[in-house]
Amino acid sequence: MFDRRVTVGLALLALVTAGVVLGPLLSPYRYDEQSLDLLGRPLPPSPAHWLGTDELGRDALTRLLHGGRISLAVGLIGALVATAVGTAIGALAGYMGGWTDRILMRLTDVMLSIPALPLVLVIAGLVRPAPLLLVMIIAGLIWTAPARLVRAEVRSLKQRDYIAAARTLGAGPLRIIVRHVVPNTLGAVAVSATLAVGGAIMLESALSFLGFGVQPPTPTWGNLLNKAGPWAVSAPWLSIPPGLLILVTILAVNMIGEGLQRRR
Amino acid sequence: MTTVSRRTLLLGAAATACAPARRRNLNSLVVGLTYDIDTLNVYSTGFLGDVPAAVVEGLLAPDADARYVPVLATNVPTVANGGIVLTPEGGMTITYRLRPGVRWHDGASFTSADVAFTWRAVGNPAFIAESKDGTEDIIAIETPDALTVVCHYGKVVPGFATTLFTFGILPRHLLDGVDLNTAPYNERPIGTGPFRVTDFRRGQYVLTERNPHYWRRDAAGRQLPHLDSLIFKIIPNSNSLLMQIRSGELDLVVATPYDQAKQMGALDGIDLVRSPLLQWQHLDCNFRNPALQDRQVRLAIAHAVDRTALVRALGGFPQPITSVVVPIFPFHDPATPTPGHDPARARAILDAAGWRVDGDGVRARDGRRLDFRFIVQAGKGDDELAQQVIIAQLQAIGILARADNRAGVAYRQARYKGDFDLIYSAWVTGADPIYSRFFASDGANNSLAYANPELDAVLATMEGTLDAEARRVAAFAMQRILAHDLPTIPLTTNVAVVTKRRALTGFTPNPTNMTPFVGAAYWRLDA
Amino acid sequence: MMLRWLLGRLAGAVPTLLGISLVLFLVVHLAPGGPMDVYADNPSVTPAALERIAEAYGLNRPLPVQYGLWLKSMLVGDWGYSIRTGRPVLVEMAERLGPTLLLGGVAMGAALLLSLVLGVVAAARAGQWADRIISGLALVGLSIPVFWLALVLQLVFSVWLGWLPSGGLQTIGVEAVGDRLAHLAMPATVLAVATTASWSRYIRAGMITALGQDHIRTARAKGMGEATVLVRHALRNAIIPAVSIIALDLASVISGAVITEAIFGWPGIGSLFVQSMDGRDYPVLMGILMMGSAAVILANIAADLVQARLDPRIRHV
Repeated sequence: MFDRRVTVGLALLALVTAGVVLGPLLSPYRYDEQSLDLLGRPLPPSPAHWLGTDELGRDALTRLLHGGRISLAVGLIGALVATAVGTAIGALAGYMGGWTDRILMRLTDVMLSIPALPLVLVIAGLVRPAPLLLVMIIAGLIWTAPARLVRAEVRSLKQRDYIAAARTLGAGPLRIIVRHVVPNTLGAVAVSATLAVGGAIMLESALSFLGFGVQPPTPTWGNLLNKAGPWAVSAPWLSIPPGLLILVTILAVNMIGEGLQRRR
Repeated sequence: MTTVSRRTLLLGAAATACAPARRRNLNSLVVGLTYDIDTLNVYSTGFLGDVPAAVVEGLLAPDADARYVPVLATNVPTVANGGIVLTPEGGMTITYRLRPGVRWHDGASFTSADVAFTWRAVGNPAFIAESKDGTEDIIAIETPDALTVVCHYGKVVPGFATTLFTFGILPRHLLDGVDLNTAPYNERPIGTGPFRVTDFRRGQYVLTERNPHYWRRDAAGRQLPHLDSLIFKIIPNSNSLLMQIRSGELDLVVATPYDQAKQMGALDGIDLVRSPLLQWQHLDCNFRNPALQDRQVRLAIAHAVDRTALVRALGGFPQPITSVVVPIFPFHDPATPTPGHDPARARAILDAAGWRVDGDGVRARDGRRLDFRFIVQAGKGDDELAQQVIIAQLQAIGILARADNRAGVAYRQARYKGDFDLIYSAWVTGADPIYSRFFASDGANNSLAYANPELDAVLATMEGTLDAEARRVAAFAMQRILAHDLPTIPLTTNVAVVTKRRALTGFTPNPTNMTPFVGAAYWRLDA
Repeated sequence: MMLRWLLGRLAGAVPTLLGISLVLFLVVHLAPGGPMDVYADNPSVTPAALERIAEAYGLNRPLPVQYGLWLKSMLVGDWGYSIRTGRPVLVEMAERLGPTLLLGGVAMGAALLLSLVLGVVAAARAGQWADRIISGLALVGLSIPVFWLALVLQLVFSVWLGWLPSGGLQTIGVEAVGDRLAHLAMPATVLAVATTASWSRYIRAGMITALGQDHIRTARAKGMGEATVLVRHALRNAIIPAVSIIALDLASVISGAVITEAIFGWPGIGSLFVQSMDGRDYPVLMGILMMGSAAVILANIAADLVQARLDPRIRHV
């Protein structure tokens, strides 16, 4: 039986995903389609444009959903990469111990001590990342949490009999890590991966909100908010929905993570 | 009388807006600045010198029609009045007579020694300045007496008034031997202007108060300035700008971003004043990209852009233009031939030149795609918006332009080094415009790798003579050549949208980079 | 004993700090552009002047030498000059530290109080509706993007209701506590929301563990009042694991209020950081990042010290 939060979280996430995948396909507008008639200032929601239009006459709903694709993709891939890297480093450090452990954990400490958002800002400001590079930068900052978690798991697993048995049978460290250690940490990895998705989406939207992330006309929830900011007073229909979707998505992910954690 | 009604007005505003009541000196004006000031030294700031213009004065200053009027000098030197003498060696000598009885904010007398010092200090290579223009044209300065300055130029420089002594004079008695890069002057500039700086809190505000020794009087003989103080409030977040104008916390914003001006609409007691600027927006093609070396491609781009749509997107504020010379100048040529908005023609031109649409809708020839990196300054909302419109217009003729925007210095770097294919940006000139820096093959700001020897010759004529007719003819030739070569497509000229409280009178817009604050002495708050 | 432990911890932090300085140095110097480029685009800086600037900053030396020189001058307190303003980096930072500490102090103080109350109540009513509501709110608080929350608060309280100023530290020329509080209200709330959510979860978890322990049962069996049990006995134990998280969050406020400060025009370190980003003001960016990192490391050590004081079982020998 799944925890109820996992069910609700998964349902919410499925809803958002379906929306951003299907929405742009069903929409009569392209996300970058401008309307010469509507140029100049945003228009409030209407039957033709359910969430109104922006100041270039583009359909706000279509841009919101299309932007969700980019935001979700960056979040999911970023979390995947971070978890993979973190798991590898954590498993290596935990299993090998000694100097390998000390050096890897010192590196983790270094990365954990540098304030994350300012560092990402500096890097992103210097290189102006395309979405793929942005994913890498984000992953480069959030791999530390899974690394620490997996290391702790591995250290406790190492004491178990079957690992010792495998070792006496002559299995090499790599084989032991891949065959015996990692599979047994999957539960912990799943939890931290879920939480990493939330972290990655938040970082991407913060970066784009400050203008250092994905560049327009490609929309993301973050840069939609960036553009809607100056219009917040007279066109709130542009700034409320992107933030709400970020909130719902991260909430869904956190609920799943929470539920999984409780089950363990 | 005045005071009472003003207070009533304030109470009314506070009551209706329910805003935090403003408590302050009733004869002070609160100005909103949209950027965070780096330094108050007019020669090293990376922004327009709004605050310095009210604090520091030059020998001359441009007026509302971009014509020079005397400030610390007693007249504008010309050949006719003997202020300018052409030398047989091809140079010129300019003599300024200085205004007597002018005092610095600290009470010391202003003399010719200060003028000569300014030239030396700004020209000093150790001083890292934003603008040193004009210093290298002068070969020597003599100061025969305390109120006479004789400047020897190595060549004829018609635009001599645009920079240096117009920007402001530095006080020798305070800065001689001081490192200008780190001098306290940069925080508390001492000038001869109507207001003096009393407090500068970084990221927050600059407080000024009236200069009691100010030399200027109004027509009725009253000592200026009228206002007791000018308060500059730093509000880089444009959202807050709008909110603070609404709540009555701000009285004046001289450069309201268009996206905010669009929303000001009809606010009680607030006027939106539009005034021309010597600034124009343009779309430039970088000749380093082989595809953009093809004139047909540039011509097609020129036919693709729709100025009407750009103006509409920018709230109707800017004015469409067809020449790099903005219409305010007498040598603007209204007959400059310009490719008009005609997407069908643009497509035909590209087809004829062999640029054919391939599978993904982007044109290509011999494997080279019309796929361009398009840069504007990130964070400049109006430019980013215009960029989106241009991208869509180019897409309509099969040209892919991809936004590659950068902020701050990273942007300037790309701009000056030509690290882009297309760029949408603005240039601004002084009241005596110098175009060689943009379009001459060795122009400091020509980052397009554009070079036309014919144009170089025309520009040399234009900027090497004081003969007005010869300059006009050369200017017309320049506009014609640029309209043919199309390294740059002039799109719109900007207007300054001044948001001001109706009670502020005596305000004169200024189209030049000296900003309206050069006239701050005459401003007053009425009922 | 304690002093030796402390010295040991501080010594142990040195390699981490060195590692941080190396990472930051490499990020800034290997990035396309590099610190010199700021000057390169200025038409009035001649090549000769560039050469002199490069020499003055030691930028024409090999990279490892530059790193050594930079490290040395950082150690003796010479953090260089801001490119944007020409003023010493330390002066720039010191000027902005006050507003940031004020904002952070108020926000974190409120967060601590609130999260203690919420955490204890949730734990005491574990599984009941009060707990569910608090836990649900905490989850929302953790998921809400700060920049959006800030925008919504501005809309509601400054624009629609007109109750609070939309930004800034104070009304110019007004030195009144009420005015300061009105300006603090929204940014402090924004900063406190996520923190309160996170801390209350830790305190709740700690409380639940503590309430299940033997000595609590003993205390209850002795007939002590529920409030006494909760606060005197359980909270003391519950707070111990939360201390390290709290310390880290406190430290990160120094550099982490970037978004909040930028939106509310709060003239602190975060705003300075954003402006320095625009101006590629490397010396200032490096200074802020170094100070932020050092604060995190010190906070870790401080957390261990506090934990030792609270928990008699932890002995540093």
